[in-house]
Amino acid sequence: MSKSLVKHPVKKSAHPVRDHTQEWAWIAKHGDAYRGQWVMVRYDRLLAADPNIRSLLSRVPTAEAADAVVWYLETAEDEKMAVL
Amino acid sequence: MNAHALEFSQAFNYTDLARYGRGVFLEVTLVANSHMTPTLRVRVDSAASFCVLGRQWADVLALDWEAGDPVTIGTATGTFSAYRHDITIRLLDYEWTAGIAFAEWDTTPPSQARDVLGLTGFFDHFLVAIDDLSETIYLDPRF
Repeated sequence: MSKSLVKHPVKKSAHPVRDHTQEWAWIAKHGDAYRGQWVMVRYDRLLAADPNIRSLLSRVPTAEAADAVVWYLETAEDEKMAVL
Repeated sequence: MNAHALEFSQAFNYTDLARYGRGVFLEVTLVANSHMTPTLRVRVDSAASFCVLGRQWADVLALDWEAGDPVTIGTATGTFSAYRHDITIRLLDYEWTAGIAFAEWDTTPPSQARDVLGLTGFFDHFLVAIDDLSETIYLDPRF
């Protein structure tokens, strides 16, 4: 069996994902201004916004990015697209 | 008719971003090689055989993309190449290791749909129920 098909059990994490309520609240409040862009938000602060994901990732220090949330804000055109 | 009762230890509400994209989402962080991604909201997709993510996340995790297990993924409109790598996924209070397929493309808008948690690597690790009417997904891990 391929190594990546070996099933590993779920366990309690020593590093649970932090609550990101503040980040999602920021995006919900300010997101309309960034439609068509990726945003990276940490707590209630926008770290970067960019239409290109790699460009966005390159603009934020790795340690800070690892504690942030990333999301793409769809445009009105994007929203017309159904997802299969 | 037989009634079936299931119990779930976790509930995650995805209401807050519903106006930015129709879908069922969970928040995950990916870890490998002492590198960690930002927290992503990925789409939950029981129609996907595997968990599939854009290639940029493989680079964030310092994975040698082509050193993974090659896989060709079929879609309604064609196929694309990916390489599967064992990485750690963190979700809420849990973590597990699974083979994740990193696609040949970056996650390019409007295609957050391409970053998905599928059958192998997610649904085979959790009991899952979706109440889309209340935009809540219920989870119970399979320890």
